[in-house]
Amino acid sequence: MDNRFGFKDWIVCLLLVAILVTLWFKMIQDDRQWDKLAKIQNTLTSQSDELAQLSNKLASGIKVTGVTQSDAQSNANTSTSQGTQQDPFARVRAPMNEPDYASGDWLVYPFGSTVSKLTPMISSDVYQSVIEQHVIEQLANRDPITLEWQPMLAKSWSVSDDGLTIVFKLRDNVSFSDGKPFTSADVVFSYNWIMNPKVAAPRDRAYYDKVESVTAVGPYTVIFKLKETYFKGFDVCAGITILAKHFYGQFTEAQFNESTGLLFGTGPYKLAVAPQDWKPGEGKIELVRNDKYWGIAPALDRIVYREILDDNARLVAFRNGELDRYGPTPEQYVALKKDEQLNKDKQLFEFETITGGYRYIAWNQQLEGKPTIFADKRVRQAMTMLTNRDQMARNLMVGLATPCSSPFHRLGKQANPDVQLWPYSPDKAIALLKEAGFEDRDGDGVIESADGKQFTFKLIYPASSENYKQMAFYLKDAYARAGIAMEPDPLEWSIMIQRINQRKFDAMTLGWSGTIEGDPNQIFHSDQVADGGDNYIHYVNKELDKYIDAARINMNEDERMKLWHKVHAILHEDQPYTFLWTTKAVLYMDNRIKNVQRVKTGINELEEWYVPRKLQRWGL
Amino acid sequence: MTTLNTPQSIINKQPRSFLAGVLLDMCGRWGARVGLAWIGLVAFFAVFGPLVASSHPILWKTEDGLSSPMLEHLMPADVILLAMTFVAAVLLVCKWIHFGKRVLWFFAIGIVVSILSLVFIKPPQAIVYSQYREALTTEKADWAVMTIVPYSPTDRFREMEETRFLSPTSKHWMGTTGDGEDLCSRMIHACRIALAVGFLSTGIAIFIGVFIGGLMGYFSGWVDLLGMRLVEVFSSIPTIFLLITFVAFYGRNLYLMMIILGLTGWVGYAVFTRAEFLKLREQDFVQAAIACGLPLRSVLFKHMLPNGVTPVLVSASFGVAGAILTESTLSFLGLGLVDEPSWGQMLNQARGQGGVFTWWMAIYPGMAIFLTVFAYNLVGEALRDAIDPQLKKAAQL
Repeated sequence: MDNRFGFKDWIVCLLLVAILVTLWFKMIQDDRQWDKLAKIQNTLTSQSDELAQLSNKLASGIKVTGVTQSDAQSNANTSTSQGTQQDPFARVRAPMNEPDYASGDWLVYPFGSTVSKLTPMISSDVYQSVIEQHVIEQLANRDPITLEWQPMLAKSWSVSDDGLTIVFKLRDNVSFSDGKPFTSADVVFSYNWIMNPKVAAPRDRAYYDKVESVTAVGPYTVIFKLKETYFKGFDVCAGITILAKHFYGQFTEAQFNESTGLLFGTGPYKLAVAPQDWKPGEGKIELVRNDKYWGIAPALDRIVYREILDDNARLVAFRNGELDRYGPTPEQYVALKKDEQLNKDKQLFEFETITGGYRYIAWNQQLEGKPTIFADKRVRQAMTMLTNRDQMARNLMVGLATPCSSPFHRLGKQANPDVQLWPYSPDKAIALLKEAGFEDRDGDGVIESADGKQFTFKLIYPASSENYKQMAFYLKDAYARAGIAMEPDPLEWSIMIQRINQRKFDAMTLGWSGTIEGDPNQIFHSDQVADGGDNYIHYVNKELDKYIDAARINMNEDERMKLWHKVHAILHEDQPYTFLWTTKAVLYMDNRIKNVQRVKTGINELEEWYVPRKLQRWGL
Repeated sequence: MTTLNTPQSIINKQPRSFLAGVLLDMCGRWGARVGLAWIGLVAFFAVFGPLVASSHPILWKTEDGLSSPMLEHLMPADVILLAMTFVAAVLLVCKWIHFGKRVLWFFAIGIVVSILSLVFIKPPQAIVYSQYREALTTEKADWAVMTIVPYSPTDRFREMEETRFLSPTSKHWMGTTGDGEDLCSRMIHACRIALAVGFLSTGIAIFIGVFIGGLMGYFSGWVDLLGMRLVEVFSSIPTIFLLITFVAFYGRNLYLMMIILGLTGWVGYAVFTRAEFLKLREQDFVQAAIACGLPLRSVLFKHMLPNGVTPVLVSASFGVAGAILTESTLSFLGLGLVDEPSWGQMLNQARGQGGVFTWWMAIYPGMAIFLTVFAYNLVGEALRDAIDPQLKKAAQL
């Protein structure tokens, strides 16, 4: 028992040491292997970069052919055609001359809700459309600077004088992401698929109702015929979602309607998994670069859309550098602006676009068949003059909002420059209300009409939004100054939609999103009062209807704009809505992403962005 | 005459003496004292809130002469509460009147006062709080006597540029909320909702629970069988989800919330009462009451109930705490009241829109909820200890 540490123990110890040393060596060896691998990979990527640049240079060397019309605005006798000297990839190609241009790296993009369906047409999700635009291309796109249409899958087109016939000439070098060529048959298939009543795409179908027929003449010519003249006829035709016949044709309508991830097209990116295998609810959606893309390949390898539902969780992820792109709420923006370190690491974009939309208060003029208090124009004008839009924009929207006077964005051509905003003037408002018969007759602080009807009403707004709640309290206090008792009534989103559709509310506040040239028909035309149209405030003005109808079928832009100006003036005078403000978008971008630029429609497409080799973080 | 008086006084004293003893014993425990003190404070603010925190001056002199905007702006509920507190205080002093009669008087006056104030008190609906401050600065008013906290809970200081999320200062003792209201004032005015939710919902629950439980215990047999099935059905209802659904479909209504809490929360009380009544129904005094030919309601509620109600009272104090927590939870989820203050709703705002943690918005309402629930639990604990004879013996040893 004395000899506790014998020969056997020595051996065991030695063995142990030997094992440890071998392990150590093995680790060093592994490290070296990794280094070697990384080196090989680096050279490989740099070579493939060079190859890509070479092929891009080659591609730019080949002139994109097409009908060359010297002036798109030329007064042709039979038809106006638009030429295609412009290269649709000029903007993608531009940064390639930068010395630090490199392909690679990922873009991580947060979503505030889960995307349940990626299949085009049957999804009404705004986030789905964000993904779709990188996978499915259109016949033509709006140039982000000039806002003119520029060719994409179509190389040229011609529009007849009455605007009823549009002929698209398609490119012959376009292929889908599986390599199969794109032809006119795919366009015709897409149209027929939309119009197929078994396909669950009622919204798209209503939109394409204006198209009478789509016919293919040969493999690269498509003729769209419209039923009636419509100023947005070209937008409708050029914006058709192109479905690949060989891909979507293999599914029945029922399979298509029940599918979740059938997203497939000609675009620069494709789904990272096979479209049939995509399942929702995984917390992220990944797009990878389409290797067989027919155009100029974008620099970023992969786009990752992460679904983070909670506002604060999203903010934390952004602060931790997990997100490359982030749009904060106004309140968050105030806090983020004070953070110096963060502002050094990120690029900040503050911009206002025509498509940004506007926020409004809608006054319901008819409730259960009877006219409401708001049926009187003077009352609506008074309500607008009681609203201190400047102060609300300054405080609630932290200066990110600009008061507006109509659904037409002030930066667009549709807005009437002569219309002045209603001023903030409680005194004038009270005088107007008195003129309309409302004054405090019984001394209880609330004004009432001659027959004793108290001026009280409920304002409905979505309960989930803190910003709307604060706005409702602002309005409540503002209206109290004129003796109007307003009761804020927050509703769950689904209930609110139901109440709006049934037209059961006194007043409500929400926002509309915008388009480059808006069509007020949907919201303000008296035709849209019935049958669940969007004129849910029972606003009827025959003169306005006349101007809207005239503008919609007028294909001459100058004349149409004059008509829109009249529409603007009438809407301003009538105040069916109190138009509140248009908002600026705020966007933070990670510093390593280069060539992020402001364009007319917001910021440029991510196909134009790149990350210099040294700064790349993901994917290696 | 004396021979007649003695048994009556015995009857009067007998059922009360146990309860009174328990209450006295409970008040002797320090936990109960602390709990009751806090509840008393909350009750004080619930009643006198409008007199403690209000933007309306108590008295001010304008061009039109002296007036009291605060009194003019009292709501019917404020007046009812103040009047009933006064009546209760007066009745407590009038010891020479029989207790039952005093209770009867209290309720009779209560009903009259409520009807009168609901009919005659019509305070202005559209209130502009800034008018007082503007009048004072523009010298339209000479002077004004303000309350201790000179802000109303819904005064959002619209004449000033920005008062949202101010941290506590000498002006705003507890800071301001996300809408720019004074937090201290909102805390005070939220007391009423906290108390009302607790008492009303528990009151409804006790009423239903004792009634059904009493019948189940007294009759047993198939009444008991049916009753217990009803209890099982109700105990499987998830209250919070039911409330969320109701709020979504029928809008925000505090009274509806209290009623639902009461209608689903009676199960525990019914079970307690049933057990007590099963025990009591075989006892001699009950048999005697039945043998005397007393009507059923007299046997049930006059003779059996006072002897079997104590366990219910214990669980009621926990029930009040639970109801306050439920209301706070709903408010925290954004399903509570819109404009009126409530502690849970204030706590919700502490999460901060901009990702900034506003500590005053978390600490004050959070502490208020915690302390109130804690106080009720302390009282309940003390009540249980006072009732349980075995615990009492252990304490004496």
